[in-house]
Amino acid sequence: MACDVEAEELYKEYPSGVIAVRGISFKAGRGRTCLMGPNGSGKTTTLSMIAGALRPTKGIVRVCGYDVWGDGWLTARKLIGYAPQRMPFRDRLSGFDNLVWYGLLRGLGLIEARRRARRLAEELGLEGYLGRSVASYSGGMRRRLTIAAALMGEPEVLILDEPSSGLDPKGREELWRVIEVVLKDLTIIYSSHMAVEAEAHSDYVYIFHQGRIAASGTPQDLVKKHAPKPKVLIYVGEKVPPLEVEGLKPYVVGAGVYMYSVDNPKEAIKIIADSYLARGFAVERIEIRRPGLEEVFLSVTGRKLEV
Amino acid sequence: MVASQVLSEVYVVLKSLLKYRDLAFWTIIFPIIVTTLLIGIFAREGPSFNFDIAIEDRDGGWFSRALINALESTGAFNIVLVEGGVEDLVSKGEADVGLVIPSGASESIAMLVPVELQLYYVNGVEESETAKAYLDGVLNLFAKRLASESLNRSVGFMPGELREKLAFLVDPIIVEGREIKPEAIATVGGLRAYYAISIIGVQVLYIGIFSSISMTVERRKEGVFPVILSSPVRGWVIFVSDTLATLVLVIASAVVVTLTGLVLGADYSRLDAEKILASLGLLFIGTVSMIGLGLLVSSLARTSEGAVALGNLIAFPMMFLGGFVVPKFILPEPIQVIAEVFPLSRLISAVRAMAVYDYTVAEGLTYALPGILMGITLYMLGALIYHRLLTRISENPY
Repeated sequence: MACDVEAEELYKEYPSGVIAVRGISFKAGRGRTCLMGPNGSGKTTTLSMIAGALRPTKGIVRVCGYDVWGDGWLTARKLIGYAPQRMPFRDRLSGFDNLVWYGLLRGLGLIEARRRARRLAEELGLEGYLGRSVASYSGGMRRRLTIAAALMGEPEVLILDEPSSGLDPKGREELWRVIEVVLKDLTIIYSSHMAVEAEAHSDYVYIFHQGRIAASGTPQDLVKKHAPKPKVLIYVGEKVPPLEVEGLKPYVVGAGVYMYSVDNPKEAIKIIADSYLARGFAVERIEIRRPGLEEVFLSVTGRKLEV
Repeated sequence: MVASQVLSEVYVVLKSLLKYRDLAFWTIIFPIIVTTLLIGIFAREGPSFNFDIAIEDRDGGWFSRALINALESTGAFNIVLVEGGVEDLVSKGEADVGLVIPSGASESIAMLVPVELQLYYVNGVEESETAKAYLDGVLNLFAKRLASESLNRSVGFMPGELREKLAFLVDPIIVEGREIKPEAIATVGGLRAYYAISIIGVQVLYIGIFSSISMTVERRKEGVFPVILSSPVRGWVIFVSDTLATLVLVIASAVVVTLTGLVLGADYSRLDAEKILASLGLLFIGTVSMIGLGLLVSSLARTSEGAVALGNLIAFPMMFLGGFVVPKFILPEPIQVIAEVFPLSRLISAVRAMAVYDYTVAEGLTYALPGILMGITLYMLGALIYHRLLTRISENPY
């Protein structure tokens, strides 16, 4: 069973005057919801407010109908499992002892906590490592242990802040494979600054930009709506200016890297390359890029998705 | 549910004692070392008086035998009976003092004729002078007893009033020995117990203050609070859990120190079940008072390094000024006030009073009362600070 998470007009201003979140409203149901955006866009702040770790300046968060920051705070927190970006494990204690501590903190009895720690370790592929100190864990193991800790209270809603940060692509894929097997029935809200990850592992995406939601939808809908055309990227060196080619306007991606939205990429790639070569500019590289969430981000914010 | 949450920190602390060497050192090893050192240096057996005395017994009668027996019974003299040359032995330092009992002394005493003993010593040599003073005392007592017995034997027929006057001349001062409870001095075993309890006080002082720093500043640095805040746990439950975890460390330390003291000869025989219970209660209040103080310190520091420095700034001098390692009465009078008002000092003093000076539980608790009240107040203040900290962190974790 899973339940919905609703946020209404969430707003967070820190005592320093920094406004991290500026009136965010969204709803997340069963499945994987990704809050995608660059660092500093308000994802972590939003997740912390949903998880009950950070009090919003304004707004309401409901988990299964219980107000996280109101009367139902205790019940709401029982329904939430929260894995912050850096889980505070006691490094010299074993993974097992750390999990038991999280279980006790969530109100499980000692025997139940021990039983659940073993079961989760098995499900998340940690069984051989449970007795070792956390200090000896690899980055991937640590992330799995983080997820296991968040699951100790058997939550309905799992909140993962950058679950794959610090992992290489292979580690990331392995982690997601495990997450998708273990957590298929839960409401999962996670954050990521990687468009590829959001696209591959989300049922619904909220694009965050400067403390606001810039766009939302399924990855396919977002691409269809905001970046329907394929792109051609040309790399010509820093000193070469961007050229308008047969009515196609260039978008400056970086120094000497220009992007064109095209209808027929196979034809366009030749025309664009020829235009630069005809003016005596050397073309270092040219490529077709299928539209994805990175392009969607660019389209809705006017900026490149950078970490 | 709440019971599990309350025990969560206890679980971690018990596991950490096995895995974190620094924690095990400060909780278990360090107090063993300090207790051993303190007892070894300050609570050794006192110096024993043992003097060499050369005696030339020219009498050989009942008087000389009685006198030599009396000297032997003090246990303070190594008696060497010589045929002559007493003066020579003393002058060469082979005997501290020398005594010559003249011939016919027994007969003289029986005839109520005074006997002149020759006592040899070396002026200016401390051991010889001390031995002479001690021997003087023993001889005086022996003479009084002898005179008293002679009086009883010789003047029994006299009228009562005259007999009393004569008794006065023999023994003008009557000394009655009455045993009292020591307040500032103790037996060697008691002194060892005193120091063992003092080290328990030091442990309470340090563990209390530094646990508070760990449960606030360190926890903030390590990012534990977001996990706690997102858990279905009330603030006071975590606070109680932390308090219990600190108590576990204090109890572990106290047990180790008590056993070390026992091995080194500390005398806890004055502690009965009631006093042990009262002492545990006082240790509990002492611990929570230091948690309160630690939280106060933590609230003043901005970084964990600052909090540790501030904690040390308080704990280290208090170890001496609070009458823990250095007994209060040794401190200058104005400084003694610190030990009077510092709650933990008062509580530990009360435990020591019950364990070493045989105060009753009622007397101990009465003495501790200001400390109990101050300790509870500090803990309440600490709870308030902790509550405010949780609220602040939930609004701004940075």
